[in-house]
Amino acid sequence: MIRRAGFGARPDEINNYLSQGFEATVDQLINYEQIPDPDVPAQPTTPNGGFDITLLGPDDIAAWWFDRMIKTKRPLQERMAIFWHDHFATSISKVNPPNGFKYMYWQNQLFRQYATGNFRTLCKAINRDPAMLWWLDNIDNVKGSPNENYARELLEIFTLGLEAYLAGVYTEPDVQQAARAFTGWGIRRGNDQPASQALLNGPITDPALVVEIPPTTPDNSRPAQRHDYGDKTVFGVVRNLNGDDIVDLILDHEPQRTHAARMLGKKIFEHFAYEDPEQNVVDHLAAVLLRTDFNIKALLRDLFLNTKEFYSEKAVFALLKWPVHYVVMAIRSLQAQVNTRTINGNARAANNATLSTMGQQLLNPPDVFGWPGREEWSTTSQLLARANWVNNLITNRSAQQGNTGVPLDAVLAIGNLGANATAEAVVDYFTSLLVQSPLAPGVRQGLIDYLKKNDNGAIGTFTLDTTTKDKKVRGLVHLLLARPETQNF
Amino acid sequence: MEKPTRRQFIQTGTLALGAGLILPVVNRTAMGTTIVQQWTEDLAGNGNILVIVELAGGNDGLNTIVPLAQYDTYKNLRSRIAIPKEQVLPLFGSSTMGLTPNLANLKPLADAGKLAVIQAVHYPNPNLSHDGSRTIYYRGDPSTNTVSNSGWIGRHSALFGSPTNALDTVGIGGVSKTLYAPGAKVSGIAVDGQGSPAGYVFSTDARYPGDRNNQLAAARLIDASASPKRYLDLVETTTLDALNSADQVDAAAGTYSSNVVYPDNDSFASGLKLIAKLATATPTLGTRVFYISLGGFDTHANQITDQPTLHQRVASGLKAFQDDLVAHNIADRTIVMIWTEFGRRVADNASDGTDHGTANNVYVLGNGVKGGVYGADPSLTDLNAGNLKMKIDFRDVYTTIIQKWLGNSASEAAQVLNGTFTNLGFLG
Repeated sequence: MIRRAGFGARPDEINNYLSQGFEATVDQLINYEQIPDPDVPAQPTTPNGGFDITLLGPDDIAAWWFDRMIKTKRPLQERMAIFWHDHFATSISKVNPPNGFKYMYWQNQLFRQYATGNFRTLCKAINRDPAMLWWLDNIDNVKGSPNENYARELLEIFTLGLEAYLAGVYTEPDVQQAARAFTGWGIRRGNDQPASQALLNGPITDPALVVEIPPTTPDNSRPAQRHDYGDKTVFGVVRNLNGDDIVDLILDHEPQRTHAARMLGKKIFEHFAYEDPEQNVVDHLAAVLLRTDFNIKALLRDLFLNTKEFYSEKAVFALLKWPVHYVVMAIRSLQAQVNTRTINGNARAANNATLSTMGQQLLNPPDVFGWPGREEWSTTSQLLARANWVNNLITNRSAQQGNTGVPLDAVLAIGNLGANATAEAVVDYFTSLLVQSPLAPGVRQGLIDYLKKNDNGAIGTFTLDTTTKDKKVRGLVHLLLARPETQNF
Repeated sequence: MEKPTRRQFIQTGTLALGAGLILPVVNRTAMGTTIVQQWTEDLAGNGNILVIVELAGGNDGLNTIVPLAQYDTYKNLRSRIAIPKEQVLPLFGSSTMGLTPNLANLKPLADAGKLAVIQAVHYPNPNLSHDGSRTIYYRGDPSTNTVSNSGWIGRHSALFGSPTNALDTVGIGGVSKTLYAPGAKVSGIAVDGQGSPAGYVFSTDARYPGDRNNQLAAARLIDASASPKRYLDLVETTTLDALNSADQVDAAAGTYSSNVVYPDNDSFASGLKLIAKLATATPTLGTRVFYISLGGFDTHANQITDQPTLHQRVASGLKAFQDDLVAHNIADRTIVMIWTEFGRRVADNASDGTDHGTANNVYVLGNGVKGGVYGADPSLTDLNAGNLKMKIDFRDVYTTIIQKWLGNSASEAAQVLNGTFTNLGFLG
C-alpha cells in the first residue's frame, strides 16, 4: 500500500509502518495534516536565490515540487497533487509569460491544499483559478457568442465524463448553456492581464486579486458587463445560473450526481489499483462519494481500508508507474541526493535523459485530457530514457550541484551486506528494496551471474570488495530499475 | 499478402535504394545469453511508406480550404475571422474552394497535382469531443461501445506487418494509439532540436566499458513464466524492441546527409527531419508507417493569430520534407496523410475563435497522389446544429490507403477496418 499510495518507503520508514500496524499506517497516510513535514521546502527558489514571484519559472516550480515529493512525510498529499494536475490538466505551453508561470504555481498549491478535500470545493476553486481561466479560454468568454471551451471540459473531463455524454446524461445544448453561465469569469485588466505584453510578470501575489467574477446583481463592473444574466437551461433546470451553480447542479442534480460519483470513484481506483474495475467496485466507491458529499479523503480511506480489490492479486503489477512516480521512488529507495533542477527537462537544465523524454514533463501535459498514460508510458524511447536516467543516477560519483548520488555503502549497510556477502544475498537485498515481489528464478539467476561475470563474459568468483561495489553493484541497481517489475506498481 | 524477408526485399527492392543494401548485416548477438535474436527480422510491406500527420486539437478546415463559392455566407458567419477573399489562393482541381495563404508553401505541390483534398470527412453521430473523436479516428471504428482498444494501423501491422522488426512502425516523440494492437511492432523515438534521435541508446557505466556487454545481456533477461500481467509483458517486449532497434536508429541518423534546410527551432520540422533520416537509411529499416503529431489547433480564441502560425509551420516543414524525399529518391514511394479529430463550428465566437464542430478535410500529399479535390463541397447553409454535415466516411480514406498504398486487397482492407468501404481514387 505504501508503494502504491506513496512513493515507496525508505527501509527505516517500512520498519516504522510495520511496528505501528495497518490501521495506524492508513490513518497516518490519510490524515497527514497531523504529520509534521519539516524537510520539505516551503517555497520554490528563483534564480536570484530567494523567492520572487515575478521571476518564477517552470524549472523553479518543478524542482521545488520534486524536492517536496522526495522529502515529504505526507506522500499521499503529493501523490494526489499529481493526480489533480493530470485531472485538471493545464500546461505552460499556453499559460506562459507574462504571468502564466505564477498562475501555474498557484494552481499547483491549490492541488496540494485540496489534495484530499471536498471535490465540490476543489471544482469551485478551479472555476476561479487564473491558470485554468486562461488555459481553457474562459477569460475570453463573453455574452452574445460564448466560448464553450471551459464549460465543455468541465462536463466532459472534470466531472461527468464522455460516457455520460454518450449516454445522454448531458447534451450539446447543456454545454452551450453552461458556457453562458461562465461568461464574464475572467482575469482583471491591468498588470496581470495575460494578453498584455507590457509587464513580463505582474506583482500581484494573491490569486483572488487577479480574477474577476460577475457579481450576483449586474452593475457597471467589467465582469458584470460581460456576463449573461439571462436564464439558462441546464439538465432541464431553468434559472439565472452562474459558474458555481453549474458545479452544484452537476453534484446535486440526478442523474448527473451519480454519474459524477462513478466517474471520480473509478478514476481514483484506476489510479491506485487497476484499470477497468468491475461494476461492483465502481458502485461501491461511488456510494462512498454520494454518502460523504464527494469527500475525497473518505473515498481514499475506504479504498485503503475497506476495498478488498485494492489488495487483490489483480492489483499487483497492474499499473505502469508514471515517470514522476518512477523517478521519485528510485531516488527515495536509494536515498540519493540529487539536484532536482535536472529532472524535469526544461531549458535551464537541458538534459535529454529526463522526465520529458520519459513522456511526462510536469507542468506541461500534452492537452487538457492529461497524459494518455497506459501503454503510452511504454515506448522504446521512454523506456530507454528511464534506464538511462537510472544509469546517470547510480553512476554519478561526483558531488557537483547538489548531486552526490547514491550513498552505496550506507545502502549496503542497511542490508547488512559486508565483505563476505554472496552474490545471491546482494541480488535478493536490492530486489527487496526496489521490487515488490520476488523475481522469477531465471531472472534472479541471470542477475547473480551478471554479478559474477568477468569482462570476457565468463563466470568468475564474487567478492563484495571496493571495485565490485563500484562496478557490479551499481550495474545491478541499473539493471533492476530497468526491469519490468520496477516499472510497475 | 506476401511478406518478403529482408533478403527478398533486398533482391526485389527498387533500384533507387542503392547498392548499400548489400552491405553485410552485422550480427550483434555475440553478447552472452541473448534471448532474442537481432537483425534477423523479416521486413514486411511493398516498400511504400505512409507518413501520418495528426493536427491535434481540431484544425479549422474552413480557414484551411476556404469556400470561395459560398464566400458571402462564410464571411457573414465568420465576420471576426474570415480570410479576406483577395488573399485566398487558387486551389488545384477546384473552382469553388481556395487555399489559405498560410499554406502557400504547399501550393507548388498542389499545382503539380500532388495534393488531394478529401472534403467533409467524418464519422456518423459526431460527439464533438477531442478524445471521443480522435479515439474513433485512431481505432478506425466509430462504435462507442467497442472494447477493442487497437488502432487501425496497429491492426494492419498485426496482420500484414513484420512480427519481428521493432521499427515496422515508428511514432516520433510518443506513440499514437493508431499504431497499437496486440502483435503490432512499434517503436517511439524522441527527437532533439536537430532532427536526431534523443537519447535512443541503452547507456551503461562509462567507467567500466568492459562490463557493457554483460549489462546488455542481462538487460535482456526475460521472465519465461509468461506473465499474465499486461504491463509486465509490455515493458518486457518494448525493452527488447528498444535494445534491438537502438543501434540501427543510431546508424541511420549518423549516415544521413542532405542539402535540404528544414525550419529552425521547430519541433514539427525536427520530427519530419528524423523521419527523413530513418526513411532514407541504407540498409533500409523496413519502416512502413511513421506517425507525427502537431498540437495547438484547438483555437477557441484568437484563431486569427494562432492558426496562421501553425499552418505556416505545417507548410514549411512538409515542403522541406518533400524536397528531402525527392533528393533521396524516395518521393515516389512515400505519401503523407494529414488529419485532425474534427472540424470547427461554422460560425465564429466572440473571442475570435471557433468551438468544436464535426466534418473536415483530410489531406494526402505525395508523388503517388492523384491531386485534386474529392467529394462535394461542404454546404454552409445545410448545417446540423451549426456544424457541417459529413459526406464521406473517414474509413473510405483509410481503405483507399490500405488498398492502393500499403498493397492490400479489398478484402484484406475490410479485415483491418471491420467492414467494406469505398476506394476514393486519390491514389490512382
